[in-house]
Amino acid sequence: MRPQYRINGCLHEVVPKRQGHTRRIGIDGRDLDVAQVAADQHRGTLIVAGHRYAYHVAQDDGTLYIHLGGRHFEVGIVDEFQAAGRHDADGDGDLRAPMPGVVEAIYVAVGDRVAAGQPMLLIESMKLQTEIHAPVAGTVSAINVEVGGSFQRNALLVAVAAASEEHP
Amino acid sequence: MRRIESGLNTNSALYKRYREHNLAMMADFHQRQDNARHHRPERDISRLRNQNKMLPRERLELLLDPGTPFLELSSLAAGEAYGGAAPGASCITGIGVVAGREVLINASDSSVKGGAWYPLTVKKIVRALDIAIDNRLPVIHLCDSAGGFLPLQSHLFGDKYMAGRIFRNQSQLSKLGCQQLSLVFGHCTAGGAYIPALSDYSVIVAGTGAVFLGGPPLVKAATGEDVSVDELGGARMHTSVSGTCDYYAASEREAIALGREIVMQWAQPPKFALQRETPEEPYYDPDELYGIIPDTTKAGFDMREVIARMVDGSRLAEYQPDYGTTLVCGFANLWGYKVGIIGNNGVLFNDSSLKAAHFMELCNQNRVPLIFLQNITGYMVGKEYEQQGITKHGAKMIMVQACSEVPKFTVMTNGSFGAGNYGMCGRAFDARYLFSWPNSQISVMGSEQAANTLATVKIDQLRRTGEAPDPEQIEAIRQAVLADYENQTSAYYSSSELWDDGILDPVATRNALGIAISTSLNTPFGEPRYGVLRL
Repeated sequence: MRPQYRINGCLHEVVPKRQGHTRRIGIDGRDLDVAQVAADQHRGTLIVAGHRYAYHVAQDDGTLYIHLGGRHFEVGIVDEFQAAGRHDADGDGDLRAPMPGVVEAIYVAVGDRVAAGQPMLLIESMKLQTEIHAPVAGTVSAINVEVGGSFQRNALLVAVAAASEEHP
Repeated sequence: MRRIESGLNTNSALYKRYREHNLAMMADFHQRQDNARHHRPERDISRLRNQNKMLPRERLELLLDPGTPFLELSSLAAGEAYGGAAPGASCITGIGVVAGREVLINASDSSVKGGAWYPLTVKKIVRALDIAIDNRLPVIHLCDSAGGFLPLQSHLFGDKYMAGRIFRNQSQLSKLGCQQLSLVFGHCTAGGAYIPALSDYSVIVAGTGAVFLGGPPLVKAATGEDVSVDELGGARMHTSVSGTCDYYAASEREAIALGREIVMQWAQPPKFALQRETPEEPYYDPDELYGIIPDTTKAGFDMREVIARMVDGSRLAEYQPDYGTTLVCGFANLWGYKVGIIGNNGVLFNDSSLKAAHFMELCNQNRVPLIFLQNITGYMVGKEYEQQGITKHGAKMIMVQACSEVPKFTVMTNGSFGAGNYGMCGRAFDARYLFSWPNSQISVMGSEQAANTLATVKIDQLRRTGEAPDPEQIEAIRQAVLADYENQTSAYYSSSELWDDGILDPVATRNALGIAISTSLNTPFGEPRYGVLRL
């Protein structure tokens, strides 16, 4: 995967082509010879195609702030996974028991609006209490268990009507 | 590698409740540790001072390279035994740096009963030398012990893993090429005399140091010979006549300086070339661990939140994220070292057991050390799971784990119950190091379950004899079992009994594991090889 950087808001592909004292890098398909002489972590000289530029750099998490030749650049690395897009969790609003157990607490009522990931039930099984979270955002349409009641694996505990179904 | 996205809400009531609970627990833990290390009756301290001896930790302070870490092992050993008479089991063991070399320290604590060996002292020394054998560490013995604690001699002498094992382990270490140095500060009598004698190098302090199989009173009783300590086993005699010790030291300080000079001559074998990156602090603050660990073993927590506060950059390359989700497996770097992490996120099911087995195979194949983060209430029970082979899947996990050739490291983060303890590399499975958090608990089943099981057994017994079960009697049995469990499941009990290598403050775990992994690289990891897996 070619590394992508967001430089002052625009996406660029930057590909290292040779390691060593001098580096050749390809920027959006154009090759440049580049060398860096770092004075310390924050300052140094950048040599691009024979021209020397003094630079200052500061890093904040994944973003670099660079002063170079009187200009300011904000450089962010584009995560390969972000660029690839994430797969969404599949599945519907049916909340089924992951294992046999007993209901310890119910946090929601039929008709409640819930956010995805919101705790809905507390179950206990094998000496362990587990919170069961809403699989999707929406409205609680059914609760099939009561506190103290037991259930088998895969039993439908709570159903959530997904928000997108309500507001097409 | 992607950074774990923490879902922790540090403003939530639950976070605050856990944090308050855990900070109180940590204060208690540090108090206990401080007492075990430093709290001694004035008379014991002045006795040592009058003999012109340093306190054991003062000797360590001089011996270890300044500014380097010392990973003390089992600081609370024997803490719950002998009515508290032997804090730290009257010895100090740990991994430190001397003259730039990683070494294992075995120091008598003469400020406790003259450094007498209790049964748990022997267990602690044997375990320390096991660590040296497993990790090919050189050893420095700081000898100043009154010898075996005679009232309990039957619990420390005759059996395979008792006192003789110390000398067996010393011999094995030597055979493996691990150097040993003894600094003789006090008397080494009877068995204790073999510690310097089995070392490659020894230094003995004039006046206070002595080495002999039997002291003057015993010699007098056995043969009628009248002899002084110095004639029988003093520094001058052993370094110029018998050759039992190598260097004469006029003072403890000189002995330590000589010791450092000796260690400086030792070869430093190259480390195994485990994949390494430049170390990086975790992105998420390890201090937040106090708000993640629950105040009960019943409540679950996401082990990823713990991993995120332990590994470099909080980054984890998770393996099979959508399969067997009650177990988190993945690759990470810790202090730069590549590691494979296996952490519990719930009960072990058929799929999570298979995932664990497969992931451990990957780590063995790629020579990546394994870290087990235990929080396990057991393998799932019930008809459906048995029919799907939960027992044989668990057996595969245990087999691959037990036969793993890569170094294993275990941390007890919360609960450790039943067979889950086995599968997740409990004490019996030879983790190079096993550490516990103060909140952690170990038992064959939960206390409630054990109490109820025993109560049921009692009811059945009574019914067989035709008696009607008396509810009060049943409740009394339940309460008795619960009380016993309360004590014996606690981390303080486990650590007292040497079921672990010490209790760690959770925020210290990353550094402890870093040192532990470093020591494990003194010998190459072996080829993967397993027994018969029931497929």
